[in-house]
Amino acid sequence: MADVKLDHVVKRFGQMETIHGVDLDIESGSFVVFVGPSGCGKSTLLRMIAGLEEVTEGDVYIDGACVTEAKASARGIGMVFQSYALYPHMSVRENMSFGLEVAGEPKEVIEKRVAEAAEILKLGDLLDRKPRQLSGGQRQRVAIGRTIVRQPKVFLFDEPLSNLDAELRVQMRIEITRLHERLGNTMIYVTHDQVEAMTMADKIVVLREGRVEQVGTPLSLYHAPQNRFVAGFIGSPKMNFLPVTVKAASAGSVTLALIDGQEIALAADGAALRPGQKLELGIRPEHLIVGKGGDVEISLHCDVVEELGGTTYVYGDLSGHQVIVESDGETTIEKGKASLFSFKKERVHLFDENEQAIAVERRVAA
Amino acid sequence: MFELRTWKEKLGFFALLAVIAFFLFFPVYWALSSAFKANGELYRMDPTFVPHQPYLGHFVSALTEGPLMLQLGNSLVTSTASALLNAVLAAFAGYSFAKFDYPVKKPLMLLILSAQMFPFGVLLISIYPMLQSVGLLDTRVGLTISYIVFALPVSTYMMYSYFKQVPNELIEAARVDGASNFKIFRRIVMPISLPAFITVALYAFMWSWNDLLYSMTLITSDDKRTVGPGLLLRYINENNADWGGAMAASFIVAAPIILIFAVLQKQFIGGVTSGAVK
Repeated sequence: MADVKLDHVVKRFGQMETIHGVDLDIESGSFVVFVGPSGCGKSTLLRMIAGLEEVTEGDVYIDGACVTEAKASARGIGMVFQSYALYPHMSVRENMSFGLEVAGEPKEVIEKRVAEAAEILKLGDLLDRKPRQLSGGQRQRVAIGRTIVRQPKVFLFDEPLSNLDAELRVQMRIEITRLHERLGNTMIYVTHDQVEAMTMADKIVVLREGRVEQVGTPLSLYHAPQNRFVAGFIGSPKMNFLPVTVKAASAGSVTLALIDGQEIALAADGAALRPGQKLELGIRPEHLIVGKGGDVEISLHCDVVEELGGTTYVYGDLSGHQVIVESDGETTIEKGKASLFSFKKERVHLFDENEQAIAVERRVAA
Repeated sequence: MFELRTWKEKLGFFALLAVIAFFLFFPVYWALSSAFKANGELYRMDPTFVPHQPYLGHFVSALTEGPLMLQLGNSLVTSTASALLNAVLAAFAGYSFAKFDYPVKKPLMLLILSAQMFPFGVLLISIYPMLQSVGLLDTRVGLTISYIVFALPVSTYMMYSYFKQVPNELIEAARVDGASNFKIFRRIVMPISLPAFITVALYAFMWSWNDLLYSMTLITSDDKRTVGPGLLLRYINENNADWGGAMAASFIVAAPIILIFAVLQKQFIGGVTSGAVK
C-alpha cells in the first residue's frame, strides 16, 4: 500500500501541452478512477505515474518518495494494459513469472506467488496454456495475475475492460472491485465509462483537456457537480440542460424564465447575477416525474419512447430543446403527443456562462 | 479472398495460371531435361523434349571431377555467415528505428536505404579498395562482408516494418516487469519476430548463393571460389560450352536452396505476408 501524489505535473509533446499542471493526492489503499472523454489526458497521466511517459514539469511521488526520474520497474507499480499485453509466445505461467524471474527471485518464491495469484484469479487450470488459447476475460485475468505476483504498492489499470463484451465487462468489474477489497492496495483505474467509474471508485477524478475538472466521491460528483462538464459527464443518460434567463436575483433567491415562458423561483445564490443574464438549468432524466408531483410542470412533445422493461426512456421536445426522461417500466407515454412532466426545485442545477455551478439550496446532500 | 463463381471465370483463371506457369517452369524443365541428355542427343538439330535415354553422366562428372564440392562448401560458409550476420544486424537496426526515438533517426534511415539505390556494380567499385586496404581481398570474410553490405539496407527495412507492428504495450509491460532493453529484445521481441528474421536471413542467403559478380571480382584463388563463378569458369568459357554439365551442376547447386525453402516455407510466407494481415 502506498499513497500517490502528483505535484503540478505537466506533459508536453513537442510544443503541444496535453497535461496542464495537475495536482492530485491519492490516499493509500484507495481505489481512484480517472475518467473523461477521449483525449482528456487520463491515460497520459497514468503512464506518467507508471514511468512509461516522461514528466515534462512537476513531480510524481509514490509512498512519499519522488519517482519522477525513476524507471517504471523501480516505482513499485504494476500495470494492466487495455490490450492485455500478454507475451504471446509464453504460457500463462511464464507470463506471470517473467517479472519475478527478471527480478532474480528464487524458483520456489516464483512458484509460490504464481500459485497464489492463480488461486485468487481462478487461473489454476490455465497455467500451461498460451494466451491465444484463452478467452478475452481469461486473458485479462492473466494480465492482472502478472501484476499481482510482483506485489506492487500501486496497481495501475489502463482501460482494462474496453476490449470485453458488455456482460464480461460487468463480471470483471465486480472481480476487480473484489480484488481491491481483498488486497487493499492503492489502485488507479483509467476509463472513459462513467458507469465503471461510479461503481468502482472510492474517489473519481474527472479530467477534460488535460485539466482536473473535479475530484470527489461518486455521489458527490453526481449530486454536486462543480461545473456543467462534470454534470453532463457523470450520470447516464446525461443531464438535460435548458437555457433560462434571470428575471430577478438577490443573495438568497433567483427568479428564472424557462424557455416555455413560465417563471420559477429558486432558493439559490443570486448575489452575482443580474436580470437578463443567460444561464443553464440542469435536471437529470431520473429526476423528471411523469405527470404532476413536482414543483414545476412542463409539457413535452414526446417523439421517441424506449421501453426497456424495468426502465422507460422518453425523448421529448421543449421549445426546440431535447429533454430525456427516465421513468419506471410501468409508465405508458403515447408517442407523437404532448405529455405533462414535472420536477422538484431541489433537484435542479444551475450553471453560469462560464459553465460554473451556482449554489442552489435544498439540493440533496452529497 | 475472391471466389470464382462461373465456369468462364474459372476457365479464364486457370488459363492465366497456365501461361504464368509455362513461363516460370519451362526454362527449369528444359534445363532439367538437358541435364539428363547425353551430348549426342543434346546437340541434335531437332531438339527432344523428353530425353530418349536418361543419362546420368553429367551429374556424375559434376560431382566427381572438378572442385564443385569445394565450391559448394565455400558458398555454404559465406552464404550462411552473411545470412545470419545480416539478419542479426538488420534486427538490431530495425528494432532501433522502430521502437526508439533519437535525433538522427530519420536521416540515418534514409542514408541506409539510399545505399540500396546504387547499382551493386557501383557498390563493388567502392567495396573493392576498402577490402584491399584492410587485407580482406580474396578472403571468405571479405566476400561475406560485401554480401552483408548489399543485403543489409533492405533487410533492415523489412525488420523495421515488422517491428513496427509489435505492440508498444508488450514492450512497456516487459519494462514494468523490470526487463532491460536488451532482455526485452531477446526474450519478448525476437521470439515473436522469428518469421521476419527467417525471411531476412533467407533473402540474404539466396542473394549470396546466387551471386556471380562479387565473388568473381573479390575472389581470385581457386580454393575460395563459390559456386556461381565456379560453374561459369568450368562449363562456359571462351573455349567450350558444356551445357549438359552446366545444367546438371546447376541442379546440384540449386538443391540446398530448394531444400531450405521446403523446410522454412511456412515461416518465409508468414514473414512476407506478415505486414498485410493482423
